[in-house]
Amino acid sequence: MSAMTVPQIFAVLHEQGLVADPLVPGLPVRPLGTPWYVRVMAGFGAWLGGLFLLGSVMAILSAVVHSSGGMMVLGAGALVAAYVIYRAAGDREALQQLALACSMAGQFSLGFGVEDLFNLGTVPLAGVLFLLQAALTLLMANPLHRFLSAWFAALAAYWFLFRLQAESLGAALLAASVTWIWLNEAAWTAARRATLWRPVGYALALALLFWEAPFSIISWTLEWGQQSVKLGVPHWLAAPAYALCLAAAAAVLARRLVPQKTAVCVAAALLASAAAWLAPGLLAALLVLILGQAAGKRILTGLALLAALWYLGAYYYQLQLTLLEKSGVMLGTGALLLAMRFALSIFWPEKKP
Amino acid sequence: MATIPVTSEEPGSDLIRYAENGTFSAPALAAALRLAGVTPDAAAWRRFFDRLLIISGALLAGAGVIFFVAYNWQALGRYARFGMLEALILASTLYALAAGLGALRAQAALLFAVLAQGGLLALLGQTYQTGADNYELFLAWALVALPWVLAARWAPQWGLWWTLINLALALYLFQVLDPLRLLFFGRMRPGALVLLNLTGLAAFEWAGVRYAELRTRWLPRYCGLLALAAGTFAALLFVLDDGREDNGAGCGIYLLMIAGGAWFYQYRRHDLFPLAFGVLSLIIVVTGWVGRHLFSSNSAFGSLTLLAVLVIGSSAGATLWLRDLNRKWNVQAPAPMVGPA
Repeated sequence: MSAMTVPQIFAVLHEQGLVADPLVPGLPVRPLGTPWYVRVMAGFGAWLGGLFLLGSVMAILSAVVHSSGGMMVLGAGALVAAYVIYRAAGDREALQQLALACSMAGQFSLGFGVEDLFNLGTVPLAGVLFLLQAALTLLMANPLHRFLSAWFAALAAYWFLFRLQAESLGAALLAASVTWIWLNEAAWTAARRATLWRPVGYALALALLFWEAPFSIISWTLEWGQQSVKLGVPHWLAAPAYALCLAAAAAVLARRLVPQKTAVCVAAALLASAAAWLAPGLLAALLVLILGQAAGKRILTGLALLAALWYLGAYYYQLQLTLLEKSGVMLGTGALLLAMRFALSIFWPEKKP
Repeated sequence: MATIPVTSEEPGSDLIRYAENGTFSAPALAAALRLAGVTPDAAAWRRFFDRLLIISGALLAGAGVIFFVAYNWQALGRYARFGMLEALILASTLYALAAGLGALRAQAALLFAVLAQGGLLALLGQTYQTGADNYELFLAWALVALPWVLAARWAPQWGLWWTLINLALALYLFQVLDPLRLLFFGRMRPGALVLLNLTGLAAFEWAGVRYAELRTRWLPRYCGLLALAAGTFAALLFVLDDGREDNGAGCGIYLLMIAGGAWFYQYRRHDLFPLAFGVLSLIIVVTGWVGRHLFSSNSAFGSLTLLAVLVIGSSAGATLWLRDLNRKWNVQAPAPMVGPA
């Protein structure tokens, strides 16, 4: 079906009883949005600028920063300043950039102060940073800040759970959250919560792709620090969690579009999950790919494809399976996918125009 | 002048605004996004799965073949292994020819053939201990694969091929120019990678205008990102080391690339993507250069404050500039109000 124009859409929705008036109401003119790659550039600038800003303040207030309490007060002050600047900034890019840099400086300062004062150790510090980032996600009403805070919160959660040997629990929670967020975009948009859930949805989807990325920088840097309590949640928990989320997504999406094929779609999702059981990174990427496709978000589908390729390359170096076993997993999964494609052409033939 | 469709908005952003102002309920918004083609209907899902299953199936099977060769399974004789790989390449090529070049299943079969060729070349080196460096494997792979890549007429196949070429050059620079792995970055000439990827960028920009199958933005953007990454590295080496490591040429190439890219993508082909990453790269290099000179002659406070102002100011200024360009281009060539981006 070719894409309809807005007047055609209103006419169809009116026929279906979904809007009261078939005429298209006017929308106030507003400035164009900012493309994601410009936001990446701005976010990096604010992050680096925030570091320099913090260093600068620390250099002049050396008496303050020698005290843990002083660092915390300085950090909290910078965060309040960032909040106020955001409120006053409106659409002004320069002020938004200053607010983000202030916030970054405040987060570093507060984090150092808390660690220095309470000498928390790795796990509690990661927990505190998670709570701080979660609070900032809620409070700072700026899409870029919310994206970064949600992303940092996920990193802190990974750090926290990794030290407790429970990262697979985090994988399950993260997969469920990402699935819920992207399957309910219409609901949270209509409830006027898109400014919160959209950046959080992108950040958590990115975190999910990183969660299973072998050889990620995160994994390398987490080995330091003292030993802590081990919860020992088995690592294999992640794969069934991804499979369940994939099956749930298949069920919800099929019910919306082809209700009579719901069982087949769920079975196909479980079959693909069973084939890729020993490569959970591919399952996480597949989940994000399906959710991105369902929501029409090309950034998500692109990220998922890149993550799958990265995982495939890094899978070569993983040591838990021999190359022959991994070859078997790859060849078996590949053959199964091709067989599924063959089945698709028989049971769901393409309609000729 | 070619104008790249500007996709700065979330797809269907006007429809989302109708939901935000209360005109659309959640079911109405979901239906509207589907009617606008932003989210897929049943037919679009079918096309998506068709592509996903066949491409990922071919990719995984090809990767499985490479893993299999790497295992060096002694239970299978050398002739059996060579025969198996050659038979796979032959069969997939014949299948592609029978399916008709240009068809999706032919493209997937040719992708599998190219991956299996990598396995075959690795097996050759493994069996006869040719003593070849890794870069020679990737170079040979790229050369052998070229006819299949040309036949496939498919952008992802060109992306894979370009990655092989880059790996060959990067491994040559790393393994041959720095054989003891002493990380003499200056000797590695990252400027060579910049030149390679600028050539690729020009070729894909040119081909994108002439050949429908290469009419995609991600190929030139991929080359541009690789060129920028290598160029940023070369320029940073130069400015942080007072040019002692002989990266002056690399830095010069980098500066020419930034200036040329800014002109080309601003005036000849409207594309914000390379401009945004070019600015990001320039901010990194300039910050490195200014920082090096500031810290050698000023107090920490003064240096850090100036750097903070420089970075925050330049990134904010760049954001304003890019948004302004975006606005101007949208006035000249407005994007469709609703529809797939």
